[in-house]
Amino acid sequence: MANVILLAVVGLIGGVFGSMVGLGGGVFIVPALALFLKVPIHQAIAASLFAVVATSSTASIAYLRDDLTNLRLGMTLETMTVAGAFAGGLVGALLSRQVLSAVFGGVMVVVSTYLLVKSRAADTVVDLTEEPGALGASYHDRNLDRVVVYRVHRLPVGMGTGVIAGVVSGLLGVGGGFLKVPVMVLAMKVPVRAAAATSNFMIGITACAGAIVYLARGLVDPVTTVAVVLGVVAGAYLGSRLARGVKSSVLTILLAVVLFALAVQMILAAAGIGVR
Amino acid sequence: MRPVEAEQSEHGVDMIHRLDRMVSRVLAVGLVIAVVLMLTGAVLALAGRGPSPSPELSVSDLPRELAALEPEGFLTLGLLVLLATPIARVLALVVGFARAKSRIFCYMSVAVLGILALSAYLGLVG
Repeated sequence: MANVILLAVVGLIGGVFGSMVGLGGGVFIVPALALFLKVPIHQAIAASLFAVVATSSTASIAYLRDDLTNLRLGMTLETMTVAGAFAGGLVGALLSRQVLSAVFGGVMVVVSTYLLVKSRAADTVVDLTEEPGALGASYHDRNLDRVVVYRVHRLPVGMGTGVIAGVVSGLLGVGGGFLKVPVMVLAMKVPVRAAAATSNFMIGITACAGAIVYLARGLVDPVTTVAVVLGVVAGAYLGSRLARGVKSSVLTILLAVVLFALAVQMILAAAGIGVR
Repeated sequence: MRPVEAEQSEHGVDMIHRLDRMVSRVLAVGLVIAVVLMLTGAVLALAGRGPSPSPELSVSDLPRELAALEPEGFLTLGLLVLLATPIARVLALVVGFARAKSRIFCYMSVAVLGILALSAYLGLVG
């Protein structure tokens, strides 16, 4: 019973942070389950894929109502991502724990470094009145109390990143948002709130493709997965509402620090050095 | 003017925002059903009804487990409904974009659905 509560708490934390920054929470949930709760890595990844679906569905309910999610851009990128996720899901079930841990740790070092570098710019909006063009959109920013209109730039870069994000998602049980959000913000010039909401919508579809493969291979533990998912639903509900009021820069720094610590632990575990 | 830009100007912001709300409702319905099923399974398990859930989810035993009100049946069905919400949201987009005559985005949504279906098929037979 205590273990089930801990699983739900892991899901709750992953859901809060994942929904707020558009990363889905998989980058937190997999190492937390594998390292601290000793869940076998493939079951941890399977539970994380379901958790990403839950985070995406829960948070998207609010983000869609606030018009933050760009469905046109999302489906354009998702066409590339879901194909990559399918390929990654097939390869992931065949890899060893050490390889997955090492890859996951390396990816998280990159993610946390990006988040720290990006944190200062998270509260800055450069242009609020751009013409939307084909894939752009508009939304009412509650913090700025005005309508933000944006145009999407460098679509081919975004589509290429979508494929890579999909492969990584299937391999590691994450939503791929840690690649898509920075590329949308830095290369495609999408405001960070819209990028996070759009990524949040996409990662549920991406993770679904990988989750189906893990389900078919019998790698889903229903008790572990349901406990994590219920925690995630509560966390993502809370996170999608907190995101309206919390400064993006503060949250970004906090998440980067937690992810970096977990990344180090995963890399040490892959090298055969115990962390507990 | 390129085709997608023509579609953007033709159907405008109102159509996009209507589609946002329609997909939001689809997600809310799917999520509530999934959570209710999973909570029902959790309550049945805490009440000690039926055997303890196995560490491996099995779809083939689902009808029998549900008929016997076993926790594992509700946990499994809840997870399957949850897994169906991304598919339902893409289906909603196919319908929404088709109604709005946004053909390019409708085709993209169909392509995503096709790859998801291929994923499910190869995963089940592989």
